[in-house]
Amino acid sequence: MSASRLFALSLSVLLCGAPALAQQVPDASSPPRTGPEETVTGTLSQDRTVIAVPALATPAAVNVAGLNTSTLGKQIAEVIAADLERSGLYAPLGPGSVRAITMAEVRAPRFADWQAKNADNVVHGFVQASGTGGLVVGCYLYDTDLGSELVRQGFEIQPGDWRRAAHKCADAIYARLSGESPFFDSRVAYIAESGPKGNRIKRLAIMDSDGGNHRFITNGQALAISPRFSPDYKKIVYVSYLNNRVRVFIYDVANGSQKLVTESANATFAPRWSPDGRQILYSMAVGGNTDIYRISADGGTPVRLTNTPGIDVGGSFSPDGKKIVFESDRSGGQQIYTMNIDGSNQQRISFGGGRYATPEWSPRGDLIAFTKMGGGEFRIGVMTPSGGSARLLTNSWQDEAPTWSPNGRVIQFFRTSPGKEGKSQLWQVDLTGVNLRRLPTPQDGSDPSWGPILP
Amino acid sequence: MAATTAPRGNRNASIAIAVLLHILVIGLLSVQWSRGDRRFDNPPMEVDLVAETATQSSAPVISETPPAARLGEEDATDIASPEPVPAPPIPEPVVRPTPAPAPKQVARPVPAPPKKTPPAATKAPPKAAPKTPVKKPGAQPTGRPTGNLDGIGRELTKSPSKGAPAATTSAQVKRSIDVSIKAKVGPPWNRCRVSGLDVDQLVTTVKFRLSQSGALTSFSSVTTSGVNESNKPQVAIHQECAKKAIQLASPFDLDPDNYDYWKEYTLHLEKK
Amino acid sequence: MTIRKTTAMIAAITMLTVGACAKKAPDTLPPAPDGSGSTDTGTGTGGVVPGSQADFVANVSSDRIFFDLDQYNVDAQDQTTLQSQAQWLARYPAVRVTLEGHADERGTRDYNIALGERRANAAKNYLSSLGVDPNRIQVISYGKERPAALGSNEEAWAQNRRAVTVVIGN
Repeated sequence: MSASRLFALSLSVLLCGAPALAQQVPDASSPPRTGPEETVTGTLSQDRTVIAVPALATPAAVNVAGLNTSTLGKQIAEVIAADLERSGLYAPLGPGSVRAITMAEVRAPRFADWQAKNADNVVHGFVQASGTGGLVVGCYLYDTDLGSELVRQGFEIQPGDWRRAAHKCADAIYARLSGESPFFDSRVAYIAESGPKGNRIKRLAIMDSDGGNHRFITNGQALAISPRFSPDYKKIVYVSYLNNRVRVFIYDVANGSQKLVTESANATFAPRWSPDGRQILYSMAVGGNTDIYRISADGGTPVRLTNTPGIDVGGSFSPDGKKIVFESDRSGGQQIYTMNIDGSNQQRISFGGGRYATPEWSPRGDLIAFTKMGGGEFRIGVMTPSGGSARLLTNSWQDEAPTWSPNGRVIQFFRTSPGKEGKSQLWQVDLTGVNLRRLPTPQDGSDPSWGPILP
Repeated sequence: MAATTAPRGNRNASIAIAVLLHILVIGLLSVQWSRGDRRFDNPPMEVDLVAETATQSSAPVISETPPAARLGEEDATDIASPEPVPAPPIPEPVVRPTPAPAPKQVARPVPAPPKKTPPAATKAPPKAAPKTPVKKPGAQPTGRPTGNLDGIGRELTKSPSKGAPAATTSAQVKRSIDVSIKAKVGPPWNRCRVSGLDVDQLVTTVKFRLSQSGALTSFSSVTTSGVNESNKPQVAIHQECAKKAIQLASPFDLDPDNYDYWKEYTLHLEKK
Repeated sequence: MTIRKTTAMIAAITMLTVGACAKKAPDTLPPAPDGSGSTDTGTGTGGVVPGSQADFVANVSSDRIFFDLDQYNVDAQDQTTLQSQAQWLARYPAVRVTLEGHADERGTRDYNIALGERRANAAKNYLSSLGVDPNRIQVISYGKERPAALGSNEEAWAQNRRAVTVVIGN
């Protein structure tokens, strides 16, 4: 340690350990002083915070359920680093580019080493056998400048859940450093696409937010489109063309069974969950006219919410469950409307030029994402629930169907390219418009639906 | 020690004492005051992650709120250690050794005129780029053991010494102090990243108190304005960055003659 | 349990080839886009079965009508086509048909399903007005899922905004 660092550290030690000194300070309710003041205006840069993520240490490299704890230490760090990088806010130095740490360092980092790497923060952690067939994972986040611990997390998990422990650690780090709520430990349901444009094979599939643990649900024999995870991840609603009909099914993820959302001779499509998972919205076409209905997830009598000659379709609940935003062409072209959950007070909120579709309410409640069509392009945008401050986040030939990350900070959508190939892929973008990137999937993809944080 | 009373001998003795005290501090810091041996015996938190197909979730209560400063709270006590995440059977938190009697900073010599930089220098734009602080009040002569080696090189080179003390006005002095504080806080403020929608609307106002040696003693208040629904999650981070920038910028190298002016200071921090 | 993609493709191709024969509503595979609407079905064995899809296609002016962007009205040309279809349907009163509604790719997915429904129903209603029993007509919307023309230009889009009448096998 250089002398200056030592002095700074000892100074901070002195200050930490000297509460008596601080308590003698008069409190702010003393008469207001017009003391000296200055304004410091910094620059909002896109620079990413450098954060070192060395491999997690292990007291002994043992095998648990076929997984080696030493290898896991590296893999967990890799998942954490990848999550942080994908958020667009961090430039992680992953386990491949920094030295390993010892168990002793986990709680007592050698900050100078990480300062030398220009890391603003460093993550240390450990993984070890729990002794009962599972694993224990602990992770700690430090500020290298101040030499302070910022957050810690610990888990006892089944070996197969190690990726979730990594995501939970990444979430704790991300939440602590960004101020946002977490979002890595979540799952996405989407439609995996393959085959020629004229005869696409579309399969329902699910995966972790980073693409891990990917699983196909349907086999592609019947077209599957527009899935939505239930808030508890136990069910998926989606539309299937099974038996040449357009119908909404509720699929049970655990046992693979499915049932219809409602029995009807009419086409039902565009299903949506309420935030408490108790209600399902769906659109139904009767005699060619489509309206929005609401039904209990357990079945029963549906409640009709819209009743116009126009196409009223889709719908997304506000996170407090009190309002629904939907699209309608009743004014001549697709626009966005809000209404109460009983269908009353329907108000148009989109008024810019062009057509607006696929509205999705942010889980944070502050914004509504949408697809805007105009000038030959489909673009993803956001606006406030009253329709103000509309801004577009993407710029491509056809970006469609936004879905929000659990913390309302990242938007996923699918991007289609023009022409005879016309493939669609999943992409995501930060709410501020930066960090646009493709999500890798085994095949092509569309209709992403991002679920909430796993408990 | 030598029994001579030559000034050089006295100075050597002072340095030797200072070094000894530093070694004492180093020694105290290296000793583990906690029961370090038990650190890894207890996992920090015992929590079950249940596979998604289980019918019952035994979800842990993991606090999702980052343990950062609260909005607008009077924060007159601690400075450096953030609140630990609440969790029952955690091993003892990182314990800092109780503060050893750190060597008191030697009283500054009477400030040489070089402290009063020419007025033109104080009009530099308030950019927070890591420029060498030309506006810094003073090329301090060596031999003054501030202990902070970081700024010494810069302090030595840039400011021209003027030999006219009484002619400059107190307004100029105040301005030079303002500028020097601002210049020191700027770079660490820039290094700490805040990101999100509408974060350019946030302004965090920090009132802080300094000791006569320029060291940060406490924050009197931290508040943030310009908050809306979209940037609300960033307020805690904005405040944390503001406090950290001031922490990292201190101790400030300011003329103790003007202590009454700068002993309690207010900074408005924003990012545009 | 998972059908290989190749198997599905082979099955689809097989189905297309034999599509000229009495076309069943397939319960395991999605129907070809306008599958039996194409002419190269070549059954080979002389003669077309009366009342079959091939017979239908060979004897009506067109198996499909087209629409303008976002529209679902049956214009004069559409009416002529549907009249021709109605005449054929009158000759084979036992035959049932599916009316497929489609939209071009320049719309969002759910809305296009609704639009396809409008188009298919518009065609069905017009056929009904010509005397075809609506119970013989089953409607399904494919939205933008099954384009007939694959390009991304006005010509292709115009071909995709369609309602296609398909004979359902006995």
